[in-house]
Amino acid sequence: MEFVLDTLNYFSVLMLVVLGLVVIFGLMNVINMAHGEFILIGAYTVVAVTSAGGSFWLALVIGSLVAGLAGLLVELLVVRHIYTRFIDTILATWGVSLVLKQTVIVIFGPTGQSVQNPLPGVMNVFGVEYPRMRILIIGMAFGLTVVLYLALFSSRLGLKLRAVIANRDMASTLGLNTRRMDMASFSLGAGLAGFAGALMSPMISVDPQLGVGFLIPSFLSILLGGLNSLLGPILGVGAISGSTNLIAGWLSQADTQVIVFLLAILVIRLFPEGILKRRQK
Amino acid sequence: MKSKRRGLYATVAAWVALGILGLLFDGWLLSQMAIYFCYGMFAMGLSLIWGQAGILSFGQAIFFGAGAYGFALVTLNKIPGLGVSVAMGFVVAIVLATALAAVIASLTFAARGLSGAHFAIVTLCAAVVVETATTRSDYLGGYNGLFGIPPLSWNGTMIGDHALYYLMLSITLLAFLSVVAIIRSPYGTLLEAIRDNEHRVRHLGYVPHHLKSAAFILAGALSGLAGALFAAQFGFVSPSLLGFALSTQVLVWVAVGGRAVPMAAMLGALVVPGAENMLSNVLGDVWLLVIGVLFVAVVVAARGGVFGNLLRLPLPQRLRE
Amino acid sequence: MLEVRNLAAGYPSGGRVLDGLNLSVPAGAIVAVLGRNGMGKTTLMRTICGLLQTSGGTIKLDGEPVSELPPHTRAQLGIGYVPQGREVFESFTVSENLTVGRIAKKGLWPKIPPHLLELFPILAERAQQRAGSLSGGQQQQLAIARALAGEPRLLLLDEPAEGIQPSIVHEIAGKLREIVDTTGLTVLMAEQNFDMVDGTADSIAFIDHGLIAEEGVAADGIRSDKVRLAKYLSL
Repeated sequence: MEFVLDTLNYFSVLMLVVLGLVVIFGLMNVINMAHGEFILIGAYTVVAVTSAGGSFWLALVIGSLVAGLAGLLVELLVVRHIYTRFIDTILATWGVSLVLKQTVIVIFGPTGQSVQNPLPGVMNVFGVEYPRMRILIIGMAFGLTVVLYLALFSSRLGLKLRAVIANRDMASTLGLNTRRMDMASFSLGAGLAGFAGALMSPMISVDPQLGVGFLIPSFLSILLGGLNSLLGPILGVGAISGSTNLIAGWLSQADTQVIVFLLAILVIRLFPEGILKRRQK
Repeated sequence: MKSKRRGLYATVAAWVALGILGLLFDGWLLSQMAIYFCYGMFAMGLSLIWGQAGILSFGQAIFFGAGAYGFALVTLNKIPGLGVSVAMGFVVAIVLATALAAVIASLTFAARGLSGAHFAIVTLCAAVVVETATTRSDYLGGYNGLFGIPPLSWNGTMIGDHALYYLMLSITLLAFLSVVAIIRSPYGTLLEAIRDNEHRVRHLGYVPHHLKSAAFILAGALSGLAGALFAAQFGFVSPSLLGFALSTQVLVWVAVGGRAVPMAAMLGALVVPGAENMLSNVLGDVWLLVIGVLFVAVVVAARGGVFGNLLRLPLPQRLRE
Repeated sequence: MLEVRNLAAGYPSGGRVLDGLNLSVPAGAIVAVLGRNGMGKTTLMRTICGLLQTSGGTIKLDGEPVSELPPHTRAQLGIGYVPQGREVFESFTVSENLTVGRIAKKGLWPKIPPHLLELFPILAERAQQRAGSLSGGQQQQLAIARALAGEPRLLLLDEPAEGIQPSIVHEIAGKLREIVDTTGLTVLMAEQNFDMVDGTADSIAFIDHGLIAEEGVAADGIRSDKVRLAKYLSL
């Protein structure tokens, strides 16, 4: 049971991060290497707000907003100028991640910070004692993922977004403002990553390498699930989070990372289109 | 005609300047500069695959680190049966780096091959895997790495600062001439064609993945040599030499210098860490912020890099109209 | 209604495809642009709807210049576009496809109007099926209906008969004529198929090497106009 909860915890947080990456890739064909830094921004905003005396819940909201705003700025200043040059987007967003990370280091210093747990204590879930804060993280992150997927597949805004992802040119001739969609999605994706970072900040050591730590599992999840599907990432994230927690049961964290990454690379080599075979165009 | 030759004159002038620099300095600073030539060779390897063939690798430090560790293992007598030999150290370093590059190339380019995005992410993960695995290996010294690599010597005496500088300069010049010879050969033209349109090259009857693998392996070998030379001068190796951080640093150097021109890439690898060394004392953490912004600006607005246009050599005779 | 003057356009990699093209389409008419492959028909269509940038000249819709506007703004102003190869959203349902055609338009209620479904009963019947599962002719009807769902003033059709069996071509042609006669829609269609042009088009413009060589040619009797057919279509 604890394994299920641990996996669910990792799954839901990773899902929030991956969702933004997938939508940005689908829309703009941009691999956003700076996405992990939005997690960082969310988490560090919580550090700043709570140490200034604000409550964690206020910090959660502000953290998501600040990350969303940072995403908007990155879109306007960098990504929009190069989104037709695929390889350069990887590099430029990588540069952006260096800049964002270094900014955090300049402001907060290179060492890890901690955030006070707003929900201390444990509660009994299906016969296991589990930290209350972790239950909240699962609830909020998982709930948000479900809501976002429902919106994507059954709301009008979701339909517009899917239309632009499916065929950008065609969508624009039907009157959809694709550039505005890009900006909104980039900002929303960044905000979600920021929310994920802010939400989990009390349970982790908030340090500048946090973003990179999440970036690689996110990318592997997407490649596993296939780049051209909005549902694929669910499977990819499930595979990564499940195998990570499974192997972590009897090996150290570093060994787990090595094994999970190697397995993922192997699977990606065998199924370059993702586990879900891409639909025929 | 004059403007076409400008790149050639600038390149010669840059080499002459590097030669004169060796006369102006001595001691610690000079030995630092000698070490940077290792970065320069490393950068030229990346320029070959990235600038020429369009292969964006986030894991080049794997080969640099493999060279460094290979050299360290032999000279520290950790490989039974090989003895302690500097020459053997270089051989093992290059063989190890080449073999690793061949393995990665066969895993990624073969058959239909991975797309550019897949390749970038897979190499990035590979670098993390190799680095993490190295920290977990007692044989390789774990987190701390391997210490006490003997410095380069000649007939039993240690090579002096100036001699070492000119030795490194010569090796780097040789590496530069080799890389330039490759990219100016018909094979180099094919690599450029792959960068622009892989499908078309395939339709012309070539096998792109063989051509790309060859370039990747050559770059790996050059990185391995650079890593070995680095270990020989630095005296110790650690897991950070084959990881994610150095892999991305070299990308920054090459992008800022100029990815498509080996000389520009090399100067990027001398200037960026050199300036970092000097300015980080003054600016501290802000320096990395500055270099990050510069990197983004170069990628967005100046794809040729800072030195790229200045040092671009004229086209080979056979490609001129 | 549509006035194209001195239009120049092409692809970033290739040269100019159109260079100095002039064309007028009167309101409420169906004008067919005929010409061989590679003469610039698709380029013309893509330039009018805004997917290709103009490098010179003007495009006016009811007197209003649109050539500098992005495609989505032109769509808002009433240009509807049915591309070559249809390009329906294959993974979406039929009704989602129609909704996308309407959803972005200012001042339109997103619900699909019933008269549209009456015109294309097959789409109503298959509303919940994936568009990718439809036949070519059905997808073509869907692409047209999707454009009409946005209630355009000008409809651009790029080779609507391509790859469709003749009986369906006649059916689509008949519906098009009916819509134009009842709503006053203006249609510009690029075509090579006479079954589509015959009985639908009011007049014909011949395109040759990126220029309109002749316009306002009566559509009746075009099949027997051996001189023009040989000149512009190599028939």
